[in-house]
Amino acid sequence: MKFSRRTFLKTVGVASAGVTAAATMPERFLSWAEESAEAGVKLVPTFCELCFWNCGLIARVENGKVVKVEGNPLSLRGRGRLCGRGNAALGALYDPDRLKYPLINTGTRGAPVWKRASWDEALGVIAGRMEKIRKEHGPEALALFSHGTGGAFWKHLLKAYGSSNYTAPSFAQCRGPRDTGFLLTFGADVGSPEYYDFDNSRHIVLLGSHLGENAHNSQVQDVVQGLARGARLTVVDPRLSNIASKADDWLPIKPATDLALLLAWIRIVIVEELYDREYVGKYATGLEELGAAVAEYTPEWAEKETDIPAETIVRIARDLGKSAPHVCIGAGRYAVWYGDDTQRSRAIAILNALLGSWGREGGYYLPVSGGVPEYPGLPEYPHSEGVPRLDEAYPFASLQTTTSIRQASITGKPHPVKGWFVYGCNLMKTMPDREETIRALANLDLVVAIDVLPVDMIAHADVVLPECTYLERYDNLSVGKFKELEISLRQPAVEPLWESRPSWWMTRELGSRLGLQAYFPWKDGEEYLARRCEAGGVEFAELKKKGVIVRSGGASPYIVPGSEPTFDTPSGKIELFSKQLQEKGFDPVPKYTRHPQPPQGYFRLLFGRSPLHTFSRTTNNFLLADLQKENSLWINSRKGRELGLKDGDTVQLETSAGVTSPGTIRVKLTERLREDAVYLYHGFGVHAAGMTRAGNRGVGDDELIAKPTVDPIMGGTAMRTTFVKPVRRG
Amino acid sequence: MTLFGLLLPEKERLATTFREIVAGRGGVALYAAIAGMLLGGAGIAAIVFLGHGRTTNTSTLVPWGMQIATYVYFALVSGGCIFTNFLGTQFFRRTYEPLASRVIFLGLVNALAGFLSLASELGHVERLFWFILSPNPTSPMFWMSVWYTADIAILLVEYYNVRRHHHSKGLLYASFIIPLITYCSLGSLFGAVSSLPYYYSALLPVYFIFAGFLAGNALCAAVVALRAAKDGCRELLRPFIRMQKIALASVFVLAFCRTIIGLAGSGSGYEIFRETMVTDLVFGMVVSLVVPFLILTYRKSPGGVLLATAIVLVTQFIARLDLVVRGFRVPLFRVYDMPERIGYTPSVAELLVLLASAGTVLFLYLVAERSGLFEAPAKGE
Amino acid sequence: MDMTAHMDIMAVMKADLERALAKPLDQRRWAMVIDLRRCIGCHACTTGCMSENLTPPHMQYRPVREEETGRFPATGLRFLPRPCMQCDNPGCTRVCPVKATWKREDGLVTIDYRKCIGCRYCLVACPYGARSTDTGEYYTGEFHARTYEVENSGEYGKTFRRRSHWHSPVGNARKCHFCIHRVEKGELTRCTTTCLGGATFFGDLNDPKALVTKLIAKGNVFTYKEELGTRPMVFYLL
Ligand SMILES: Nc1nc2c(c(=O)[nH]1)N[C@H]1C(S)=C(S)[C@@H](COP(=O)(O)OP(=O)(O)OC[C@H]3O[C@@H](n4cnc5c(=O)[nH]c(N)nc54)[C@H](O)[C@@H]3O)O[C@H]1N2
Ligand SMILES: Nc1nc2c(c(=O)[nH]1)N[C@H]1C(S)=C(S)[C@@H](COP(=O)(O)OP(=O)(O)OC[C@H]3O[C@@H](n4cnc5c(=O)[nH]c(N)nc54)[C@H](O)[C@@H]3O)O[C@H]1N2
Ligand code: SF4
Ligand code: SF4
Ligand code: SF4
Ligand code: SF4
Ligand code: SF4
Ligand SMILES: [Mo]
Repeated sequence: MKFSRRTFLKTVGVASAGVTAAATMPERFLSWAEESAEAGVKLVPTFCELCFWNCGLIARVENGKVVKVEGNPLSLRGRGRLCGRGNAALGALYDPDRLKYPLINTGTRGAPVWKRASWDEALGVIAGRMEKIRKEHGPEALALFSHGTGGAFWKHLLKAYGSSNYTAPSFAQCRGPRDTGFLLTFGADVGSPEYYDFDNSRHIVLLGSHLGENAHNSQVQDVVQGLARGARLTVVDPRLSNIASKADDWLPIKPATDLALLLAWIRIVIVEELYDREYVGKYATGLEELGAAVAEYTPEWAEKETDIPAETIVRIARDLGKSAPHVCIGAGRYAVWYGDDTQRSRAIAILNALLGSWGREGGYYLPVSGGVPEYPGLPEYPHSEGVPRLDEAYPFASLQTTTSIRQASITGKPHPVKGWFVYGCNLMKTMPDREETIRALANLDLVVAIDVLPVDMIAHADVVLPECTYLERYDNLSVGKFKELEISLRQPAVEPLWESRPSWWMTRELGSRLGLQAYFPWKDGEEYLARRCEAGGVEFAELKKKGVIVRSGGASPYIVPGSEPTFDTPSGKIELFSKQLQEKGFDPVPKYTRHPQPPQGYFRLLFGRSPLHTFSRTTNNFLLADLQKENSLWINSRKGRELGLKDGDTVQLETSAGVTSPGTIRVKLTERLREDAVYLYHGFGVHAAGMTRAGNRGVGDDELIAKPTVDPIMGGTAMRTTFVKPVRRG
Repeated sequence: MTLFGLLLPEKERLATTFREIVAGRGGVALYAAIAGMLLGGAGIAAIVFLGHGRTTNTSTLVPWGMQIATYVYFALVSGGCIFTNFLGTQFFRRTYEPLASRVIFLGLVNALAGFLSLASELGHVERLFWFILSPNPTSPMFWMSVWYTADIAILLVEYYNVRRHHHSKGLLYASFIIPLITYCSLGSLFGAVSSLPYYYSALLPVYFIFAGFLAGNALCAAVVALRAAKDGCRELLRPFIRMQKIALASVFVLAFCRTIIGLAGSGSGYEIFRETMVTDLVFGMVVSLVVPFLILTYRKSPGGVLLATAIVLVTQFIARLDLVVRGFRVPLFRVYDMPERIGYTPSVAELLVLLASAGTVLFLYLVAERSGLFEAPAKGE
Repeated sequence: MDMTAHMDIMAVMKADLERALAKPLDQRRWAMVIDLRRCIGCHACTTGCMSENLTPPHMQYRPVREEETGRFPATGLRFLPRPCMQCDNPGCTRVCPVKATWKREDGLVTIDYRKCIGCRYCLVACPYGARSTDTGEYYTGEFHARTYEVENSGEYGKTFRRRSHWHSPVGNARKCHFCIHRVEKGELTRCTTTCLGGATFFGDLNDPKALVTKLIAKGNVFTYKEELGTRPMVFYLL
């Protein structure tokens, strides 16, 4: 069955009749704010941390327990809705497997023997070793890996201590190439939450971006809303993703060839003069060089590379031209695919630029400016002079890459790294090439893990600090830049369980042990937030009551006469041709390079998100594990049968590089996937003791990715270059 | 109405029996029965006190399991005893008569054993009074409860009469008709279930009557064969062999019809039929029906009868379990990434409930037998 | 992002609810409409419902089934969320031996947790597999004493604490109840308010002005397993 979405329900038309004052509507849903009257019930607005979208939620507290979470209608990121994971908050809060007390490893890294420690002892050990590292190697020998809201406090501690080496897998293992590609082109990245104006689009193109499974809340809502309003949808994906099932055109592309498709589209747009002449003339440079560089990428050539018929390629390019500038060729989010990802992202940026979609309705909106200032009156951070950058090799890495720090930890070059703080990252599963990570860890004098669960990473730490969950703490503000500014507050709904503590407390305690009290003048998390809000003119009492405050930016989110956009590039224009890249010896216009395809008998290992899990961080959540406790290996039905595989068969995976998966996985035969690839949901294959639900279930792509190639422009690791074959077990 | 001596053994003989049991002279079977009851009782206690969640393997996907199968099995055996009584009285009056009280007694204790399993299965057995306060006439289960009660009542009366040599034609017919309705309604209870369309569907009430007759009769035949083996009066066996063969043949015909229905069917549920067809043919028809039939044809000795009836009793239990559980093996609505087929293995507690029911039947029968309940029919009142 | 459109629809449905609640019970007729074109298979409704009703392990009132059709590359895919259909001709109520479950005047097929004997006959009689049995399991096992799992689910607007297996709803049949505890307070069902695709609509079918009534007036409506004559009150749009 193919579902035509052209008849998509236009509920807006049906609904709007008779309803006025829509802008004030959220207030109508704030009954909860008054409803707290119910005896013994407390409703606490805060925001979700089951992924990094940070949707506003309302926790219902009865008898000192959170009994329910619901979306906060004021939140721009959730609009009263929570995704499949967000609704499962209590599976995280009340997980019996949670880290309960500070732990000190009296065994070795990787084979820990845990000793329960007091906070005083644990923090004492950490502070002592930090002092030692500073004395022996200088403060830059300390690094922080961080992902999540509380990471801000750790970054602050690190900077106060004197190091600038903070990193996150969410850059070089995620968004890095995309952000870099757009920065190089527009002088701005696409933000997080992204500035996609999906709900006003006339034609949306997604490459990968499996929305619906990638459950970033408001973005999913927007894309459906856009379709309901009649947008065309083209989805380029080797797999029929959830969103692909809604597409007018699903292009099951040969993996690793997206750049060929994009270059062919760029060529058609130029050759057939489908581009926005006025816009390009006014805002962009390098059209000629671009035209010359893409001349060779004909649709017929692209057909051979991508398996997508030339006519389809041409038809869609023309469609895009017709709908321009109200088109959005999404830049995706997870972008570290094949090692030339910055160039692929550049191609996406260029195509958008040609169609004039940046700053236009239905394309990329211009986010509100401003924010909330940092805590007022803090002393300046110390700076160490003359310390070489760790990722010199990647000139356009806008954030330190995880692998550079790993490398420096192993080699001691360009300067030694001797201590790691790992906050809310499960490096064992989120960095490629686990062996390298373990090698780096072996060289360190201090490894601290700050987490909520005994994840894979924990076993490699010297000291483990149990953070309380997001429903039990004050945390940093979350500021979202949409067409309006959204300021969200995290505040505790209940007291922390066991001896877990929030980051603001841990960092302040460490700070005072290190003589850095001046950097931590706040009495507690609440005061920290109150002062920041005060400094930013945000009514803190109101924020506490509503959880979210939305501020209009005043300026239009689109380019309008009289407000010209600025582009923060060397030329001040959109750079279709990039001199910056040329100067550093890279292709100034993306060039196609052919990637290896799987050898005979092997499949390309592809992976993505389960709508019910966030990486491995939710695989132990009892509510979510109840719905999906392991992943399965998707194989094209015909191909699978050819190999004698049946649905539900148990297999192990072997890579062409000789790596075998530690666990097994069940086969799922499907018509939703090409024959040259297999697919699985990332996050499974957890082998950490103490993770009773997640432990030893399924296979993780991360367990198989070895020696990935690296994007030379910004250091992103190519994660989809592994070839595997299923081997039957049992 | 006299309780002891008529419905129960005489007080002194009963007391003697118990003294013997306590003294260790009860015999292996009796101690096995007691052990079964104790273990089974522990299982039931576990279910009641720990809750179903921790003790049983039934769930939303397999709502009915071993305990319902046990209930159905014993209930059908009970029904089969009554039919045996009816047919025995009607067609083999002289040879059958000395065995009548045993057969009806078996019918009674099996009905009780069935109820034991059913009660331990309910989520809130303490609320059974709602059957009286809030009956639902559209529910086959409600009618089941009515007829089951009537069935036990009529059995008691018939038993009373038999024990008093006070025969009433009317009562005999009633004790045939009421169980007939009871087991038809049990059949419709299952037949009405949406997830079993392919199983026996409309045939299920009829199937239940014959399957019940088969199993109940097999139990009676086994009991008689045991006696025959001891005191050598083989001619008592003949009516039972005859009835057993008729039962086997009828069930065979129904199973055959079901196969035809299954082969002609399509749609969800039928796929399971196809998958299990070979097992059904080999096990469901050849092993459990044809083999006993052949044994009964060629070996009419007590040993042969015991072997054949043992096969019937065991395979009929498996068939009940299969009937109750298998219909749910294709979940109608798959939850996220769930396997297509749902597995079900009875838990220890569930197995113990079976033991409790079987132990109860065995225990009550043996005590009654030892205490002479079946020997010296009291004359008059 | 367009807050307006989203909130419009919620506001319309809330207004529909208010009108319905102003009428006597027997003049309301609750119905749900699920637009399969908008359903993106995110399963938010499934977990939203779990959160709303404190359902125990292995019990989902509203799973979402994924249906794959055709052959690659002409593959089709749709998502079919399945609450209780609140059938007008329900198989489940007919078989309940003690009338612990029945069709209310406003169309809700309700269960009296205090009356249900836990025989599970309704489970096997429902052609949609919409009913579950509460066997008394807890996600956090013995640890449950500390957690929310024993708290009041508030279903049917009553107090039900799952303190032990003696306490209803443990031992009972359970299912989707159109969030009647919310609806009667003027709030939309949880699966409606959390639906990322905006695919779930709720309201009073007896009200010609209600959004649900308008939605099913178009031709592209079907009910699940129509041929069984159960007459569901959950309508799907294609
Ligand atoms: N539920 C849920 N949602 C999440 C997350 C989560 O963990 N769980 N994580 C969040 C985060 S941090 C991120 S970065 C995003 C990631 O989510 P996205 O940015 O959407 O990730 P992608 O890698 O673009 O999308 C994965 C899809 O790419 C397809 N694909 C694989 N290879 C190729 C190829 O060569 N070409 C093309 N065109 N497609 C290909 C796969 O088949 C799959 O359908 O999700 C976010 N949302
Ligand atoms: N092979 C492979 N590698 C990948 C990806 C992939 O798909 N495949 N995805 C990449 C992407 S897109 C990203 S964004 C990164 C993400 O990688 P990471 O940044 O490492 O993020 P998570 O995997 O979510 O790790 C979350 C950790 O935080 C912990 N945690 C959860 N809540 C809290 C909290 O409140 N406080 C603290 N202190 N800890 C908490 C969890 O227990 C878990 O250990 O991984 C990247 N790496
Ligand atoms: S998208 Fe889902 S998991 Fe992520 S913050 Fe929002 S509700 Fe939470
Ligand atoms: S869907 Fe099932 S449980 Fe719900 S009313 Fe219909 S028959 Fe009853
Ligand atoms: S489980 Fe409860 S509601 Fe269902 S049929 Fe039995 S008594 Fe009725
Ligand atoms: S209406 Fe309420 S009970 Fe029913 S599926 Fe939706 S959330 Fe669950
Ligand atoms: S929440 Fe809405 S969009 Fe998501 S699966 Fe449920 S019905 Fe579909
Ligand atoms: Mo990411």
